[in-house]
Amino acid sequence: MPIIDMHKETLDFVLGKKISLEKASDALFQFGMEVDSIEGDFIKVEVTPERVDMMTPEGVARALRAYMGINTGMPSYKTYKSGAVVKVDGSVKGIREFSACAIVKGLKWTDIMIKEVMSSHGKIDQTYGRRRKKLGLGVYPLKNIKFPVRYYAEDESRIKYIPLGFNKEMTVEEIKKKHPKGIENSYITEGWKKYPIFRDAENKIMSCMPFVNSKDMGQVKEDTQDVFIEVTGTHWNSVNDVLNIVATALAERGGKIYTVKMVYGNKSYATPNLKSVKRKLHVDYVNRIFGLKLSAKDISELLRRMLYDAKILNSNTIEVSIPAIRTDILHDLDIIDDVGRAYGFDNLVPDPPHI
Amino acid sequence: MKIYALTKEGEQYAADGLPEVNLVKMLDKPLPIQALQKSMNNFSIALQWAKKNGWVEIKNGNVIAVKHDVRSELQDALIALRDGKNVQERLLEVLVHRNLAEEEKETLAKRAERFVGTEVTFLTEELIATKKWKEVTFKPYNVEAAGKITYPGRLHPLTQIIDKVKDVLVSMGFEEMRGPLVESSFYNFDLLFMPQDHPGREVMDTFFLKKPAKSAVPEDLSKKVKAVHENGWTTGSKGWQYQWSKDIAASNILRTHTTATSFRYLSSGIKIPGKYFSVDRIFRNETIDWKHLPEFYQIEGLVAAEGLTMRNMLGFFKEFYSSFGINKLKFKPTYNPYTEPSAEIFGWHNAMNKYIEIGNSGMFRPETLLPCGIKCPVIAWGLALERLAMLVYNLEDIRSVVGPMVDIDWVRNYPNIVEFE
Repeated sequence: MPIIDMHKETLDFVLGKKISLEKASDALFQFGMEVDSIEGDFIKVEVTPERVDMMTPEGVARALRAYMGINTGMPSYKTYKSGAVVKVDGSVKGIREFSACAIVKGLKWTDIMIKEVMSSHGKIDQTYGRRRKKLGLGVYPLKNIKFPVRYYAEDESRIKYIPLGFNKEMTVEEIKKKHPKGIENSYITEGWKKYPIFRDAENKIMSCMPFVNSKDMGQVKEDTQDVFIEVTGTHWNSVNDVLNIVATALAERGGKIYTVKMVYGNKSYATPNLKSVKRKLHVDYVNRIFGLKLSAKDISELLRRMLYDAKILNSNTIEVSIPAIRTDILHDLDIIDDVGRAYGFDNLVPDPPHI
Repeated sequence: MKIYALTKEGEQYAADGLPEVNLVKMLDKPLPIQALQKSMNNFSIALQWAKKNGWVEIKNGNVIAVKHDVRSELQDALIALRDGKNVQERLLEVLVHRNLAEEEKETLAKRAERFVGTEVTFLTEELIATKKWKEVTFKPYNVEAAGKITYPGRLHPLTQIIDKVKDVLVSMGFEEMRGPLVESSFYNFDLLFMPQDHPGREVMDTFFLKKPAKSAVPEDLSKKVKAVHENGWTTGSKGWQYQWSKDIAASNILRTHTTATSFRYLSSGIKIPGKYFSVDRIFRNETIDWKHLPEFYQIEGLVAAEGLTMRNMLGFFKEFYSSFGINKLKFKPTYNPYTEPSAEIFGWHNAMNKYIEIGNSGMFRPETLLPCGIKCPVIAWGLALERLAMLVYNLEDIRSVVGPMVDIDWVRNYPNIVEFE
């Protein structure tokens, strides 16, 4: 299970309130996430793999903020148009077909924040990204990039750039042999002759998939403010889910989200798309699962503590708004499970089966 | 060392002299053979050896002494042996060859003789047969000395726990399930709605079989499972939204949980309402530490009935664990691909002074039950037997129950938890 490192400052900032790490630890246990350890000002949280939105420290704090009743309901993030365009070329089909991008402005990057963000992106790559095979993500200082950016498959012979962590230009072959990210991820590229790359309007290589960013174009430092985020992968929905999660996490840090126009041939999409999904939930179904007699109002309040919005349609029906960061809601039961987490498993009175 | 004694013949010659020596003594002048035959007892032996030694010759029917006043070292050896003195090996060999001496066999009597004068601790065959026991001194018994400890055979602590778990569950009305250790991925993962790219299905977590690498996947059931994975089928779920492969489902593995066995039962028809359990071995590619083993026991169980709730499931745990004297339990929500809601069970560990995880549970998802044709709720669990053992025996390391670190004195002396008939 991924372990998320979170500094107390991040927790306090996102919560909008100071709480002790011990108190956070107890709440997390009730919530269903075990705290691995508390060391100084750092808390290590074991996150279960379905909650991709909690694989960032901001995501953990966001979930706690609602769960502890500090600020309940679906978090709303305003998005602005950036005007930036990324053209996705047909040449990436069958290699790494999809990309979705975003811009987040107005961030104050600190050393701790850089470490937390990079580490959490690595966790997403490893778990939900299936060791970058399904998807991977990258962050770049915005000021380096000239739009429109192209995402396309380039001949191996024409890819040469200085990768992060190195000081000289390298070919794909050299990256695969010498760069830690190359060694780690070359298993994905068996048989590839072309590699998907991002190149900006000045023809500068930003990164080569599925390896590593360019040092000149893709290194976030403490003086960075605005960032460009890209996610690439083999599933459109998953790529978008992760972009939503990463962009909103940075918004929790005080950033403003700007959409990027993703152009696929003659179609285009503005990403991130943070539109919520609605689903009807029946009160009797919830009560049947737990053996409780909760009202529509009770359930609505519990739902709001799990980042949902809830509208009571009648005494047995609630319209639930599921935020775009929740990738794990496949069935009504997944929402019902959240009702139980908010109610508290310790509050369920055990009653042995009577059969 | 060998001991030699004279034979009867040897004793006679020691007293009377060797025949060949006596023959030479008689030959002051040549004497006819016939006359000597009449006057000597052992004439033929005497003649044979005297000739061999070059002491006499035969001419015209007469025996003539070539040497007079012969000296025989063999004669001396006979006397020496009789008198218990040392005799050269070379001479002994000749004596034995001529059947004048033989190796002495220790007799029963002699062996018994050796006990006389010492303190005897055992009454032996010799002492009885020869009645020497009357003469010897027996060592008195010290009735206060500590006896030698003998450890009778007994059940291993883990076996005792298994027996007790089975007793408890059978008394609660559960029926036992049995399933194969080698499973197809289909029953271990796919039927349980675990997507085929789930990290738990990779070699880092699971042991795959090289031979036979594949099993047949049931035709009808796999069609439903495929639909559930791809789009949710009729379950009300979105499914995992990918293309399901029958070939991946056919891969053989060492089962990673006995939930595979539960699903063999669920998919082949169970009684409803019904209660089922198994206590059996499972395998995971884990690094061994204080709470992990690569091969361990799972207490699997399920209850299928209309109207079952999460409260019923927690109630089962209270009841089950109280049979082992474990009354401090905590439940934590968790995530399993095949149950929703799901709960981890934590039990209080006295020695460690904290709660440790002892099991995982939940209500099977409709995505897993509907392909099996089951429409009622099913509450289910996989409890860690070795962790239960840690609580029952108050052990802080799972390796003290199983494996080479187990303390043999503890195995000999820990209190029984099951009663024996």
